Amino acid sequence: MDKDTIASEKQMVLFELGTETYGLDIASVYEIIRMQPITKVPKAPFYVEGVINLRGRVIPVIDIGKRFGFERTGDVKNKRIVVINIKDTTLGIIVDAVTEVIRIPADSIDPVSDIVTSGQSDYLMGIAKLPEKMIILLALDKLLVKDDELAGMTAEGPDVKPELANIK
Amino acid sequence: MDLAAGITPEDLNLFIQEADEQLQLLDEDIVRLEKEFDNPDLMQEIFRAAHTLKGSSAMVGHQRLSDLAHAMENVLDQVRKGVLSVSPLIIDALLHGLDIMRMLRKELDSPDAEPADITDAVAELSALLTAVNQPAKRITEQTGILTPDAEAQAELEKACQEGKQAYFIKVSFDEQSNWTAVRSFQVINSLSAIGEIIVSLPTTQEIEEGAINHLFQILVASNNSEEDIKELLTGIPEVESVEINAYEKDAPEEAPKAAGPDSAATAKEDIKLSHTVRVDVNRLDTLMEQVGELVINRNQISQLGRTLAEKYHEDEIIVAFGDSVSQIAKIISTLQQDVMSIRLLPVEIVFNTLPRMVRDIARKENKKVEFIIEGQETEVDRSVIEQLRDPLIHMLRNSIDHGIEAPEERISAGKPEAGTIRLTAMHEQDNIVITVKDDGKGIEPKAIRKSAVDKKIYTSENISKLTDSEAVNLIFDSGLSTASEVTNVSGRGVGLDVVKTNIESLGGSVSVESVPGQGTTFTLTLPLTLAIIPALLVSTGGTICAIPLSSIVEADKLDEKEIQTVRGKEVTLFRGDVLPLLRLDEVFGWSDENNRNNEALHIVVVKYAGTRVGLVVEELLEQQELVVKSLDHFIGASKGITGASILGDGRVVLILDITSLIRGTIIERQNGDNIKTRILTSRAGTK
Repeated sequence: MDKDTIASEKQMVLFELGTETYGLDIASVYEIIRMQPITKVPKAPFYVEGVINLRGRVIPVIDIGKRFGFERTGDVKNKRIVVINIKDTTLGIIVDAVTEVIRIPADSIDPVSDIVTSGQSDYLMGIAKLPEKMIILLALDKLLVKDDELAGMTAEGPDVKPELANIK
Repeated sequence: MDLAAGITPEDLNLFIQEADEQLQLLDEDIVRLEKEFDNPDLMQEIFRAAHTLKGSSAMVGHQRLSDLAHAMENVLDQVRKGVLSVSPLIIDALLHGLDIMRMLRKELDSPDAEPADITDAVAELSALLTAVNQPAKRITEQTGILTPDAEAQAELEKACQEGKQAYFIKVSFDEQSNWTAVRSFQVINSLSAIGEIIVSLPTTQEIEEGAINHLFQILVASNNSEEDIKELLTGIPEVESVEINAYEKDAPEEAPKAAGPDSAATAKEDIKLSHTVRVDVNRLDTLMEQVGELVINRNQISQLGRTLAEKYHEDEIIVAFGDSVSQIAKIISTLQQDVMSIRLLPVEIVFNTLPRMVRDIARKENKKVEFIIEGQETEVDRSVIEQLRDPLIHMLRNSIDHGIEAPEERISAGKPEAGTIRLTAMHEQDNIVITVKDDGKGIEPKAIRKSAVDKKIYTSENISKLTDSEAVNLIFDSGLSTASEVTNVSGRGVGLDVVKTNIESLGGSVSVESVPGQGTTFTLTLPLTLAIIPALLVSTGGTICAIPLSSIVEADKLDEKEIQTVRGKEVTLFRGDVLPLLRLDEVFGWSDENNRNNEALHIVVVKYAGTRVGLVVEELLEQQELVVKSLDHFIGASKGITGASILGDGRVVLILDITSLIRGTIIERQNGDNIKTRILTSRAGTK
């Protein structure tokens, strides 16, 4: 493949959430695994389903549908965990089904309109218009930043540790 | 900040690593120097560290660091030569310079930081020098005749075998020369260009360190002739005379000329290199993690083997498989122990940073403290080392601030003017025990009792039930401080409670003993490693959790009928004491009132902040050694969990952090009715 093709195309993993189709840059996808027993974690943010054992590593799993705030549909059998790697963090996201891997021409990607997203456009990289359907492209690094903030907010009470740090 | 062009990240890392080492060395040694001012080796070490720092920082282009190191070096040089004598003033100036150096070093980590100003520190150092305006004293001339030692003899012999001729050279320099060291180096450089320098007097190192000798003796092996060498050396300025003699060993063997003379010599040196290897800690952590996974897999395979054996116990292949599994299991256990032992580090790493701190606090408080460290070679896992510093700092501060009396007070009490603080580390079974012992005024149980009652933490009736030792240990409670007035170091009533909480969450314990008038001893006990912990597996609300054994007192069955309520909160009578209960599923927010199985409950009695709490769970499963895996940061935000582990069957279990779990629950409940009062009341009852 020559350089021009790389620049003008993006390879995306497509998955379904509810009735919508989403796309993730393939470079950030580590692997796709079947659903497996998830260990609940108390007092984690609501969209964090828990942790799983990924060949000896313990990684968090988030329910991206809950994160975006819509009801889940679809057959449980088709559910998959997409394991992604962002900024040294490995985590799984639960999706309703993984459909295919496709190349999307860069010029078919449009920026997201604010009206469509109502303020959530941070996580969205754009919308790809394909002949048969529209695909919502996710920018996961943005999603994680927001998660950090959320996680910070759920932590209860002031921690005592800063006192130690002060006296140092 | 600007660095030299062309510095690669690797170079920079190397520099940072080296700078950190030198800074730490300086820190330790300068504090030592105050006491051991007449120790020339120590002085030399300090000087060398400052010198190295100056050189390496100039190399990476950190000009301010280099300048400051240079200013320090100048002062040190005068001290070394005996022109300046060690005084608290000098030590202060050096330490101040060192602090600035640390700031300069930190700039490398955060390039956006405000550049530190070195003017003050340099001025302070130079001020010390202006007092001394006389030329440097010369180090006593070394006289003596160069005689090669065994090692040199061997090298000489080898060179001879390679067909070289050994020469004994004496070079005299101009007595008036100020450049003797430079000239000596010139001689060395010229000679090493044409041959191999076996040994010299003074040695290269001695010259570097400033030994000045107008007679320079060198033993060299070379293929060149006597005349060539003479011509070469007389070309060097300020050389007065050169005397060259062929050096004859007792029986020099005439050997044929061999090829590749230098490679053999270098190879020999390579072998002499140290037997240790520097390894990045991250690599060790990765190794540890992988061994941890092996342990998990071993458990899985062992379990499979047992299942197979039960099913086909006659089968030969299965028997052989079982044997080989147990072999592998044994090897993995050994491997695990070995890796653990690689991760062990001496507590020295932490201890060495403390004398400086003790000195600073003591000086600020106008107290005299003799600080003694023992057992610094005691080894613990890296994970524990990191957790030691803060608690130690707190306890030491406490000892200097509250323990050691002011000098006048000590003299009138018939004690030596300087107080003694002894920091000791030792192994005790699978724990490391660290004590901080001072000979100060001790803790008055009466004062603690009064303070506890005044602050309404205890009623006067309850407090009288505590023994003196129990009362003294109340200093670890939050909100209790006995210092009659708040100083800038301690006395704010925070600190010791934080120490206790943190140590307990690591599975350790801390206690204090005190004899009024004679002193106080803090004892800190910590497990040797935090990477693998023994834990009890329990199930609740359909989930399995692990409770570290270090926080468990005991576990038992619990009948629904035994649960009573006090002001709406559940308690039970356990071994005659009222024990507050926490239902684990409720704490986690997973409780399902309607679906709760109240018939067969179990209670796990855990330690919490000097008291006990009963955790109600559904089932007690088994006890296991767990490899602790850290949870991702955004899961880690949930309090009460220290990490996770993977069981033999691949399931993930969460490892509970009892202290923070209970504290978190208390904070949550404080709005409504106050569980803390309940715990405190029951605590008074249990004692």
